[in-house]
Amino acid sequence: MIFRKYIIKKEDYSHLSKEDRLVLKILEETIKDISLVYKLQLKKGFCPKDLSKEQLKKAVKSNPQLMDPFSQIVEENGKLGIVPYHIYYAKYLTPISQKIARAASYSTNRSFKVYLEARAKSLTDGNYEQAFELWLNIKNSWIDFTLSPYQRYLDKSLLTKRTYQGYVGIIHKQYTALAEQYKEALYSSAKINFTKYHSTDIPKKGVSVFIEMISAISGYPADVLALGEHFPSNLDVARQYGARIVIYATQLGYKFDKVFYPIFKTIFEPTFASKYSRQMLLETTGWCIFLYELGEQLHKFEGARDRLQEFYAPIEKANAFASGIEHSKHLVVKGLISQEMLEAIMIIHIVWMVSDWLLYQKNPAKQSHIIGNSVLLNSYLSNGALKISIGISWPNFSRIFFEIESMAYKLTYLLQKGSYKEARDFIKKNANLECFERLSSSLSHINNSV
Amino acid sequence: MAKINMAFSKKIKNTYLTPAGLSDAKVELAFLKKEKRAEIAEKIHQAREYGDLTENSEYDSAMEEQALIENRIAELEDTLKGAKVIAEKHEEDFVVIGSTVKIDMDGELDEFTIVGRVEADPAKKRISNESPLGTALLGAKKGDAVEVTTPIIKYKCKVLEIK
Repeated sequence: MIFRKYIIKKEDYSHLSKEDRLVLKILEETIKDISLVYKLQLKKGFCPKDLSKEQLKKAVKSNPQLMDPFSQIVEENGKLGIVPYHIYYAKYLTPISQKIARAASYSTNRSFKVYLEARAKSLTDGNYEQAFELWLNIKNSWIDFTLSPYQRYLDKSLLTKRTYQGYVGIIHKQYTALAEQYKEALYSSAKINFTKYHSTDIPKKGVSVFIEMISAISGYPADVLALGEHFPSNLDVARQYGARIVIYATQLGYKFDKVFYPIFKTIFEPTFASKYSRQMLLETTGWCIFLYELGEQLHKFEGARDRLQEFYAPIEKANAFASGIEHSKHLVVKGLISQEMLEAIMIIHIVWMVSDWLLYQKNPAKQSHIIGNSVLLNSYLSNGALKISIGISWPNFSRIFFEIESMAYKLTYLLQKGSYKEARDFIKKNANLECFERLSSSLSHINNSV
Repeated sequence: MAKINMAFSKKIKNTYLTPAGLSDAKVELAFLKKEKRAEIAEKIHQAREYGDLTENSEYDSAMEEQALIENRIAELEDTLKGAKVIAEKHEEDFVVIGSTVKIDMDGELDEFTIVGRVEADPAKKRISNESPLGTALLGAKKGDAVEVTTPIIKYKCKVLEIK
């Protein structure tokens, strides 16, 4: 589904003013509208259909402009050129821009109003950076909203072209404050020891974490039921303006009910599974996405994407899991989370990887995730941390954690300074999708319900 | 037998507090008991006047707030009953509650103060004496290497400085 609408509980929106409710309603419409552009992008692709990957790569060498993330590649008079998205899709974007401008006119929050105006303008002039900067500087707004070309997972040829997406929701202030507290506890270590594991340019500029009750979401994150995302993906932009991590709480609840919990009940041995309550696992899912996004945000390295090319995304995804969970040891030893919670984090991590496999059957955009996930799952299986027969038997948590630490170290190295050849050899040696195929035979009933 | 069990379950656990922490806890308790209780009671009274309690979100919200406040009052009373105040001046030869410690954890540097669990806030570099790291460090001297262990995590850390 490329557009999803969620019902928000009354207590999560009862404090909104009459104007805010109207703003929310209009913005929900724009989220639905932009799903049509995403659909067109899926259908048309990013370049002429008859162009092979090799032809395209050859053309890029003589015309690097073709790589531009925010434009469509077109053929005119036998030559390849680009048309910026805001012109190519103007017919669809102009009415959306007008709706956002109308929502801005009703907003009573000055910084949110200014941001909405810039966001509306960005859809018709392609100046996404200014809107992004204003987005990070919104003050005291209950509503959060973004709509732009963002994720690049669907561009399998150049790995740069973005697809349109958006969400609107209400910020959960209490959970957001709690997430900020945990983030600070993690960063207090990360800032000091940057030479060893982390790229600290982003935290220095400020990374904010928001937990949101989203009411509408579309594009890639709706399609793959993303639990959260971090913005921006471009390192230079993050260095200049900072970054934001958003957890899609309502979508997380939905995915937990429909996918994660049924997978957990199916793949784990019943006596073992009975140790973990549904509520605890739901809470842990929130922790997992939080650690995952922080893990990804803390390991952005200069030139990594260009150096590792098609292997960048699988390595980055595997590292987000591994480094995110590895960082959680600071939270455990400092008493912020319990030993049981760390075990549950590892369980949800396994469930999450299996759910990615199920979603991959329907959506090829998940391919990078699957390759990265298989690196981790294979390391647990080959080192005796997990055993699969009909399902998964009792996991050896200390062994899994050991493997996670070891993988986090290797993956961070590749992102930081690994060569293309090292990345290719690493993926060739460690990625194997057979482990998911062995697990998936018992999961068809879950796949059909998403 | 039942009485003994009851007495055992109500045993007060010692809580370590700095003088400032003790004062803050007393001020918060007085505020909750004298002002906040009355404020919530008034909110509940007003919400009741809106009518049907089954569809009354203001009433539900006020009742929820009341439960939270009563829990907090009980928590603070327990804390104050078992409070042990940490001396402002303390030893710098070895780690005690109240020490600020600089450590090297597997090559990663970190610095924090060890406090009682009530005042712990790792985001502000205050670690509980009951956390695995706090427990491992208490009593350690400058230059000592201590092992922080949980059933899953094991690593060594070295005490670089005690303030």
